[in-house]
Amino acid sequence: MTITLVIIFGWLLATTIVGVMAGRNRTFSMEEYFVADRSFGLLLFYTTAAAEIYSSFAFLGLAGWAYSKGISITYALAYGSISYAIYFFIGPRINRLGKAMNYISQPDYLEDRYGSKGLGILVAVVGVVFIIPYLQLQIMGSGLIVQLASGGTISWQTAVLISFVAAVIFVYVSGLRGIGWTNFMQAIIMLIGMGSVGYLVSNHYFGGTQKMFETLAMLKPTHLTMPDTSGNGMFWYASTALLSGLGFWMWPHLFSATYSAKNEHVVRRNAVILPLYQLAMIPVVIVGFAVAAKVGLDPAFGLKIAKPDQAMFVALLDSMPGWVVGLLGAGGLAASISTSSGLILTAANLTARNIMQKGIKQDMTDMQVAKTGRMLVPFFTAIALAFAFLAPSMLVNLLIVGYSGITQFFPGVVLGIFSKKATKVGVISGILVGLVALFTYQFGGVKAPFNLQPGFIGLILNFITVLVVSSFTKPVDKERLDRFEKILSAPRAE
Amino acid sequence: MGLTKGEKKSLIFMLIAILGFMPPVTIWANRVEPYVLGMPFLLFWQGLMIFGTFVCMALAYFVTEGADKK
Repeated sequence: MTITLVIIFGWLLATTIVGVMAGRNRTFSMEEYFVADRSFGLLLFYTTAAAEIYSSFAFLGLAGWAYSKGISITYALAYGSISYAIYFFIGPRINRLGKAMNYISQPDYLEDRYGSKGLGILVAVVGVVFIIPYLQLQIMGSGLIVQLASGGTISWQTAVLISFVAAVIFVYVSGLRGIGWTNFMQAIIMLIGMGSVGYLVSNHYFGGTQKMFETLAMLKPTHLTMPDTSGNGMFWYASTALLSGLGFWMWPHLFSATYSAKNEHVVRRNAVILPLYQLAMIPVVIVGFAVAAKVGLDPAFGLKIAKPDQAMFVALLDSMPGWVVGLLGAGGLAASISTSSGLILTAANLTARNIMQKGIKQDMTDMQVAKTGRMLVPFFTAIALAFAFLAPSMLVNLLIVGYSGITQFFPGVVLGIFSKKATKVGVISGILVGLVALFTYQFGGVKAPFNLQPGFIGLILNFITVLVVSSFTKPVDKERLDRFEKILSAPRAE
Repeated sequence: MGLTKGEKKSLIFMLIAILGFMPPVTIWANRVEPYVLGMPFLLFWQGLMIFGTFVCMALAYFVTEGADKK
């Protein structure tokens, strides 16, 4: 076993132990399992959120995109920051409502706010449908990272099995608290990995970052301004960044993570410091550019890179000692597992709580929800693994529209916090219209006006539908509105 | 429901943070030179705006705290 693999698997073992230990001496309950009894303070909430947010895309995808397409990848830098600016206003309210009403999932809030079990089930089902392909992507990303870092001595399937047995163990035992503590470790190794990589690779090949960029500007001038080599221009960049920024917190696992913060102050302060984590993405983007410049000088090097996602690790193996590759491999694996564990727990949560307890099996107690959710953890992991192994491209269409699909929850969530006008029929129709529009423009062969993102058109139609339908359907009952008004308008607890 | 007094005052900081990443600002920043900190200008600008978002939200935090604590 090489030093690289010792570091990667040593790290995996360490996080698993920490994750399992985190759940010791805790009384098992629904709120403990899914939202860690709403106990996370500033630092633990910060690292939990950061590690769930930054996935294997932050390692493989960012560098791969910069390498193959160019600077339009900066939409990813923009949308994260945009989403944190918006989170400052909505995050604390979501946390407050969760605490007052004991919500543990995203549909818990929507169902209660609009008084509609149907809406809760719809949102839970849509959530699970988009989580599975996202989880599959993370699984394949983690496998690819270990396979590349090992120089091909470990197959991605073996890597995936080892990694996800580890993840299932700590999620099963400790729930969100296990994820919180492992994410604390994951966030640190991710920061080390992401932060160091850009300068190391540029220095090795070019003797400095600016020299690397000057070479690239000469060899592939379209890589560094928009429209870039892929043809993505300013309009594409701006609409994608805005759409993703709005949709960001609508991901069910990030939404319910907000409930785990101790109070709304923790959430508000996190909205201030979360943008700083984004800075770690820049060095990864720089590596992608460094590989593009290297390939420009030495086309034979490009042949080693079968897919853009491999760019970063091919360059690392070529230029860095084994222990550096090991640290970065551990960082990439950490990014993938920390996101996956949140997705697994959330799929289990949505199913046990919203599809079962509030839908088809209403006599379940909260304790049964917690136990069923725990049983579903290995179940959902197995489903995603089966897709990864047996039909890797079957869900690819769902993955493409995942982000845009999740964004269709935005009107219902935000109007529910800031306005009394939206009705349950309005919000349900809005989500359905948004999803239909999204699929029609994405896959139906209909050309989107102004070349807009299909999800963007869906969101606009969604908003219009909610407003129009709400104007003539039965308003939310006054008692319910008063209850929400009372909680949302109450002065903050100090 | 609705925003608090402090939050209304803070909306301007959210807008600055978002607009810094959007055209027309990014059309202006869409260039390679000058290089800053070794990065082409557009990439540097995005990094600067990430830090700018942090500064904006910190200001929003203090304005909100100041106005709503009374």
